[in-house]
Amino acid sequence: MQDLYQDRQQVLIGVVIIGTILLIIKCFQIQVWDKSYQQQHSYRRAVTLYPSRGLVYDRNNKLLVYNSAMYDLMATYNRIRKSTIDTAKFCHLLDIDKITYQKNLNKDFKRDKRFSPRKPFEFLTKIPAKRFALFEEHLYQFPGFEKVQKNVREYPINAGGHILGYISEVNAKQIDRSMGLYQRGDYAGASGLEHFYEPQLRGRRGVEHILKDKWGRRQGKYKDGVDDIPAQSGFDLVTSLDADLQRYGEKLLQNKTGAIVAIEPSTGEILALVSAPAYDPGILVVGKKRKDAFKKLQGDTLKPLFNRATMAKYPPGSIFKPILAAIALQEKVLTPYRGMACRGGYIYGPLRVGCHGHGATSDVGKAIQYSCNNYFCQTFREVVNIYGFDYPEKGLSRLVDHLYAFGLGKKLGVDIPNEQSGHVPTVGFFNRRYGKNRWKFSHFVSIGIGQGEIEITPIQMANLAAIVANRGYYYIPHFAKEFKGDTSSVLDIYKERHYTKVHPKHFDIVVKGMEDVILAGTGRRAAIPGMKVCGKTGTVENPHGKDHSTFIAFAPKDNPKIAVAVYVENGGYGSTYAAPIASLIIEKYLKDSIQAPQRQYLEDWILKQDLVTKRYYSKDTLNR
Amino acid sequence: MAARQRSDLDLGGYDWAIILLYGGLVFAGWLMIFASKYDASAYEGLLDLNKNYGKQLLWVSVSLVLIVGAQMLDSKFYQTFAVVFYGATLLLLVGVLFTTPINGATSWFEIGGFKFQPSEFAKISTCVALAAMLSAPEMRMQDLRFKIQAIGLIILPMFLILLQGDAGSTLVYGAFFLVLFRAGMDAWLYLVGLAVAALSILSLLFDTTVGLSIALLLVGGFLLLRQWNKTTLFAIGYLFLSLGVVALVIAESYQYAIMAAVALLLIFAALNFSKNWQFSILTVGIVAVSIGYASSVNYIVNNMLGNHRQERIWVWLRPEKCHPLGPLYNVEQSKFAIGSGGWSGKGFLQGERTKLDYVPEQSTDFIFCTVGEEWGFLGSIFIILLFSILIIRVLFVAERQRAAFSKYYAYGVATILFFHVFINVGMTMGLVPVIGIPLPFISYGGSSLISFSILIGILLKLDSNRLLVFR
Repeated sequence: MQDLYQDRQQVLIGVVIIGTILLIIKCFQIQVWDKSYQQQHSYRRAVTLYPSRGLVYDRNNKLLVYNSAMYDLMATYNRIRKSTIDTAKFCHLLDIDKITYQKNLNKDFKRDKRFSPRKPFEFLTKIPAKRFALFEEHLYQFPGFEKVQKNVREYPINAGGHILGYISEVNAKQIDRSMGLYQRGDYAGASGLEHFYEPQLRGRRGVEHILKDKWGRRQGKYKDGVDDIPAQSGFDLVTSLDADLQRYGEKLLQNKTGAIVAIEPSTGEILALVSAPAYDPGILVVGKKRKDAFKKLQGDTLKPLFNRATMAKYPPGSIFKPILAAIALQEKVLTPYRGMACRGGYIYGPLRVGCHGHGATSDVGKAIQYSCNNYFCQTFREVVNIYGFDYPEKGLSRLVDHLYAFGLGKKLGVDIPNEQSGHVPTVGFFNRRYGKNRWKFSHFVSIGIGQGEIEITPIQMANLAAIVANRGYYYIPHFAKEFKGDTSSVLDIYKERHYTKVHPKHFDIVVKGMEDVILAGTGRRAAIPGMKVCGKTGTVENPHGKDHSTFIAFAPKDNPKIAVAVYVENGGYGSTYAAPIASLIIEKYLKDSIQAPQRQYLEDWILKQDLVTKRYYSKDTLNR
Repeated sequence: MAARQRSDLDLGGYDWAIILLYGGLVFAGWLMIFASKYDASAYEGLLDLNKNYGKQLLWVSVSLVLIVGAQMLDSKFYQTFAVVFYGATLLLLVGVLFTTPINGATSWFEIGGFKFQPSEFAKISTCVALAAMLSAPEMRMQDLRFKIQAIGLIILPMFLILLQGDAGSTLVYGAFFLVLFRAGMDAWLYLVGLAVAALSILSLLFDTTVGLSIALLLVGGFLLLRQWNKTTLFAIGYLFLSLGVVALVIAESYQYAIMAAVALLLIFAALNFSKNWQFSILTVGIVAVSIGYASSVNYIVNNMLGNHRQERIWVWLRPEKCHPLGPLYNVEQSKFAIGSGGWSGKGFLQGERTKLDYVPEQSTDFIFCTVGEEWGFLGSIFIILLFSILIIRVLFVAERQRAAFSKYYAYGVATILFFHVFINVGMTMGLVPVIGIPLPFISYGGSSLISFSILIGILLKLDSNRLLVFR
């Protein structure tokens, strides 16, 4: 048969070849030429694994801080727009209104570079676990929304707000400085132990690469997880705090302003550190109400956020006398049995420092016992003038060196932020004030009785008590006993003894005097039946109002277990408030409870005292 | 010749190239189905009939049996019973209309858990019937009656399949028009078809058809000018006038541009009128009809096609107009999957995009995504070239047939294969609109694999007997 159209075979072959070439060109374009197809990674995602933050325990393994879940809800705009969402139900479950819903969802994607309609962004943050549990059951009905779990802090015991601190979301500056350690939305310690030990408590963030199917559902791990990094929890912190004692201290100082610091002298561990007014750490947990709580605390005229125990600088008053006595004994200005006659005060030319009536100050111990102003002004004069009347600079700098060795005039190095150094007036200080060679001991003789230019923080006062209890050395007061599982040496600095320049034998004399303070001196209200307590009262003259009441003590006399400093602002005599409070703290710690009936009466009386309103009341009367 | 008469089992007569290419493609296809459905946690052996790859093995063996079976029958059998087959499949195509629809199409009979798609098998019988008709002794392609008969033979099953709601399979039958072309159908019909297609695509590519209309007017005017006066001077002058019109378009004075272009066309039509009035009228007529058609294509697509098909056209030609998560999504995901393979692919069973169900229908219509993602550019062109070589080999085989029936049958096989491959691979990459047809030998599916295997089996039988008789 004749085929008239033989040549049309070529046309068909041509069509096939052209078709093949077209397909190959297209393959080349999308597989080799245009790299954008290979860089599209929508099918996998890196998920951050948040480590759980280290827990915080007290010295008896009582939980002080633990983690609880809080949820952020992330939204992917494009996926939400594609699906139909029952907004009414959604809003009801999350307890938000529709305006909030619209506002949170419709970001300015065109201009605001933080948001992309294709990437998840924060829709609603800080949803408490209880509320979220209700919502989560229905989460599958709302495609495009996903949860991110965050750990926030909870405080089972209402105590130690100043010490524990709180966490808050990192700011842009922190993120920049952290070199990738923090991301937007992370929490970090903002104050207290949370801040100081952030690197230990934080743990390490991990990452997990997951595969998603087209509905965004998790479909296993990318490359079987070879690139994944597991999250590493933070180390649990065992603190030196005694939660019961801390709570008790906060109770004792209720309706008062001031501070209590209790230290274990043999280790430097802080047993309790109270700043009054205190606040419940629970009100600063991450959540919607925090902002308001914070504002209230900041607005309070009594400054509850101000940690008086480590930040307030007070003149020590008479509690400085035992320290001066020890230094003077070391400098051989005093001998143990040196007596001085008190003429009702220290009189030097026109200068007059009053004293109160007391028994004969026949030795150093008695001087401490009766807290004789004359005795210590004279001692101070002799210490400053140890190189002669014309060389007070040399004598003062020798004294200042002693005081530095007692941990005064410098930050002790306690492990919470913002500790203050207090103030020890130096040669330079007086040179600036009076001019070089233009001052003598008489310009500042009141330092001898703890008044005037010397300022000490309550924690330094407690440390002084600890030094006397240890007869001449101290450990830096600290809260961190142990990080469970941490092998690093961050806590080694707290295991080092710091010696004063005073020989231990001199402290025995001081201790005897302090014992007598309790037995037969100004601190009788601090006596605890059946226990040898040593203490020293202080009544600090306050030019702005009523005197401050202060007390340092330690017990038992031999092998001391606790050293305490109490400072009650506007409390009047040291024996009125500070001494009983200190003794109650000691008894509570050493005997677990207040036993004797007269002691219980004292406790009730202290708890009932309301110095804060009294002060306001007196002010009002003044204005009238 | 006589020596070969009793040599039905003489394997030397078989075209081993086709057999090898067929085997290679089926094997590659099975690997791809395995890869797209493999899940290590649920793997229970290759013969797991709950899995596509397990079932496909069954279909492969059935296919091989049928191919061998096809060799048992006499080569004259197909030509003789062509009408019977054709009639029977038409009945099946009618019958399938009364089944319950699956995915919106009444394309399947369901028998004992297996689905059977008559439109796949109708391709074979139509191919056989067309070859039989074209090889009939009284056949003369120049006769209008024969043309209409041949076209009718193709259009009848197309119409029935369109009624099923399976537009993809319907389009595949267009392949037979290429067979008619080879048999001598008028070439101008194909040119008109190409022109209409080009015009449709061009007018759909742009929001307005003003530019296209002006281009048509100017080209028409130029043709009339050349007919009237062939000097270069006039041609250059016309070029400048055209540039003036283009300038008007650029200045967005569309009305003046159109008026100028119309004026040019009419002036030269008038000038040429006395010289060759038929050409003038024909040109003006064609230009007018083209512009009219171009202006109405958008309307036709927007109003006479279903939403679904409209979308596919827009996704193909105007992806920028489509919502990225709407109709565009599937094609984009398919392109991402293929594109992510890069040069040499992610490796066998390593295709994450296909594994995670980003690609729709990934073991059937979009199986090429798995090829692209796991085997990369090299694997993709390997598969494409295997197909091209197979098709060209079949075209070559067609030409060496002495019997007209065998020749036209082979052409049918080649054109159907080409349509399937080009449309299927093209759609996965966005080269052609999404048309749901399988990739021969590779896509999962019994009906598809078996019908293509029978198609090849009959071809092998006819080819092995090419020297047997002179029909």
